[in-house]
Amino acid sequence: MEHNMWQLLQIELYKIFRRPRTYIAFGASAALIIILQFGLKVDGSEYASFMLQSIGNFDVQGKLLNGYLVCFIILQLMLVHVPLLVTLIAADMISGEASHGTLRMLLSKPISRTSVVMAKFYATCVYTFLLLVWVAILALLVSLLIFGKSDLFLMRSEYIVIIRKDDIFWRYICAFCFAYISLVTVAALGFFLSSLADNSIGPIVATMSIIILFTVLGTLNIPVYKAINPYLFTTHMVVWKDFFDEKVNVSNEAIAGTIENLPSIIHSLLVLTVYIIVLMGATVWVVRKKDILS
Amino acid sequence: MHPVISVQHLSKEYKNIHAVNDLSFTVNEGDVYGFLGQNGAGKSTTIRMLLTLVRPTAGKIELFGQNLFTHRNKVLRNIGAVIENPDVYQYLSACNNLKLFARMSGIHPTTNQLMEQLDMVGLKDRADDKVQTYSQGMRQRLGIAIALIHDPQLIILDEPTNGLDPQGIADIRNLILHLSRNKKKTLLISSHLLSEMEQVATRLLIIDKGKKLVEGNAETLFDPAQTVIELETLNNEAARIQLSNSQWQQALQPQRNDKILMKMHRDQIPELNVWLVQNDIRVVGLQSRHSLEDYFLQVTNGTQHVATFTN
Amino acid sequence: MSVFIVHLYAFANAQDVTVLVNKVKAKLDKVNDYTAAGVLKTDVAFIKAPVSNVLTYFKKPDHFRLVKKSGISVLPKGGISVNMGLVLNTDNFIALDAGESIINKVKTKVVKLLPNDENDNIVLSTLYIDAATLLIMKAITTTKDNGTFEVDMFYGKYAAYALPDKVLFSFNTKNYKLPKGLTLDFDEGTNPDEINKLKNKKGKIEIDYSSYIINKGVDDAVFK
Repeated sequence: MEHNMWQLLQIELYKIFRRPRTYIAFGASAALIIILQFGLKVDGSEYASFMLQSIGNFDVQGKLLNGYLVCFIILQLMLVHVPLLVTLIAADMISGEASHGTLRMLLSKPISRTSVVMAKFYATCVYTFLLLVWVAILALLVSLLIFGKSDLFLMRSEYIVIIRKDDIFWRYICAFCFAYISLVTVAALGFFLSSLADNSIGPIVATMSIIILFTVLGTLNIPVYKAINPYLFTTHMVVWKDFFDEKVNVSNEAIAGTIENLPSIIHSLLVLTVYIIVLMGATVWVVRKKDILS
Repeated sequence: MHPVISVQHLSKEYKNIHAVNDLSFTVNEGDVYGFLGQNGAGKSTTIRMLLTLVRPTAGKIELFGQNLFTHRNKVLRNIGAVIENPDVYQYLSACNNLKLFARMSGIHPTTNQLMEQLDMVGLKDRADDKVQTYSQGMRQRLGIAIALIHDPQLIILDEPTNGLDPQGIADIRNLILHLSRNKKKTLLISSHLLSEMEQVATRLLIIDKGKKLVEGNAETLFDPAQTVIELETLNNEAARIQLSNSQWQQALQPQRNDKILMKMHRDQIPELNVWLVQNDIRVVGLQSRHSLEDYFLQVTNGTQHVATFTN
Repeated sequence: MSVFIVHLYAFANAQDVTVLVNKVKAKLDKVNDYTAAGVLKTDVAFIKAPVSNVLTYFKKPDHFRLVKKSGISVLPKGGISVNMGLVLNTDNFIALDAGESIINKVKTKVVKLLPNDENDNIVLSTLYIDAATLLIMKAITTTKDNGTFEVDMFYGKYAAYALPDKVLFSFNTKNYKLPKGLTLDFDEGTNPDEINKLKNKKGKIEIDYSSYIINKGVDDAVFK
């Protein structure tokens, strides 16, 4: 085989990074992060006191609005934003080429369709990775530079978690790795829908609609929807936050370096992995069977 | 010696529509194979099946003596194709498009080789411009450069003159002749215009509604002895009677419209002309075309005729 | 009749306990200021906090501050600042004898302390005083704004200054508002039973002092 996957991957990456659209994604996330950082820098104390209103009986001392918290706030707000940017590329990978007529050129080359699809998928994964690294640098490192380092004070729905500042960075690394798997799941969904269509707008809109629909179903407190909740990938995408929860000992002291519910994180990772495998399997199957009429 | 393309009983059905219906044909090495039919006759579907883009419902395709589906990649490496409009990556330059597709065909040409290739299709000066700034003709030529970059034995061109101006059409024609005569390539060229094929094809296949109508050598099909004449005079009825009472009686053909239809060798036409003048028949128009073109026109006008041509 | 006797008894003993409280106060007054280093442990059901190093500063008459060396601390408002010096920082109080009690195997006198000042934040304090050492072993303080706190004190090296090695604050968390997911948390709510369980627990905050620097002066700036 003259074509190894590495070469095909290079070609696909070349195509991705020659398109203006790719850089729009990087620019858009940078803009959003910078706007958030600027806002928090200017009006951060307001935000912090708003946060503390609900626990008015307690005195919170220290640098609440530090780089770690800012990063956490940014990541939560980018929950919809980054999947959209991944979708923009992923859902276009196959259908975009179909709509531009290049797919028939591509698939009449001496490369198996499976290789083409997988090379495209891996290229999307690389893009997703770079986008996430970009977000990580801006959201975490730049925030730490601007806002400094301190403990992370988080209010979960039932309790407050305070994580020591020397116990946070690795959690972010884990959270980003987890977020990566979530985003690859989004990419796989976009890919699958992309394989069904001959235009790029359809799969992009469809992918976003599914993410939004699943998120809404997941937040509805209706029994019939709660039953399907564990099967929705969006339910598992937000689990990265669980890295920011510690175990406590008998006297209720948080134990540094622990994660409250690691099994639940692993479970979510497995669910997402199953999603990825099933969606990509289906994509390869569809593309292999497909008559290219575009 | 295997034929380059051997298609047997090929069919493709889309939801009860027979796009290609039991089609068989053979392309031999060195052929410039004209693949004719009106739009929708099944040419594109057939070509897409040859390139594994569309899966046949039934039939067998062998290329270079090998089954296309079991030896797909090996076979495709020897094919260069331009399918309909050669759509390439608009956001890349011609040179980068060429490089990219060369790699996909398994070769790594040097910049010089790329430039040489672009020079051959007259795009050297615009090699670094993005394709989105190109005209239709330039894109067509770039498509051909891409089809040829990996030096394939078989070149498939689907409607290569579509949307081109007369100069562009002439350029393509010269390129086809160059590839056939100087580079010894085998070419399969589809078109809906017989006149285009007449000048380049060595063999012809005409299909309609997915079925083969005619297949044969160009010399036979374009035999000057089979020239059709359409004659229009001031009084066609009277002229027809006069002709049927003369030595031209054998040449008269059944009427299709109010014009007089005749079939003869091309060389006899001047003689007919003289005879018409001598017999004081006032000619309004005299049009000659060889019978294949006449036939093709009838077919593409939707009138189904049974093929009477043989090799 | 019996009611009268009890009142009379109480009044008679009030004189004694006032003397006792004044003695305790005098002992506490020996400390003008201190800086203490300690370890803070938070045991509140709905707060997960790591053990942290803290510094506490005190300066007469009523300056007290707990500072975490770095990072963030969450403490019940007012509670931690209930320093014994603050409880007894006024001469204007009424002390009532409330009998005796054993606290940590030490026989103590139970004294109810009512500030006379209407504006005082402390409504009522119950002090468990070891009469022999003049140390307050336990105090239950009810404040206007921040509810009731229990403070247990364990003495060691700094007993001479009436400064504890270990202070244990207890308070009922029932009245505390639970945080709502203001950090845009979408995660699933725990069921109501568990929430109530969390609420009904007593909160505890423990400070283990390792060292005191006494009467060496404290910059006023630290209290700002």
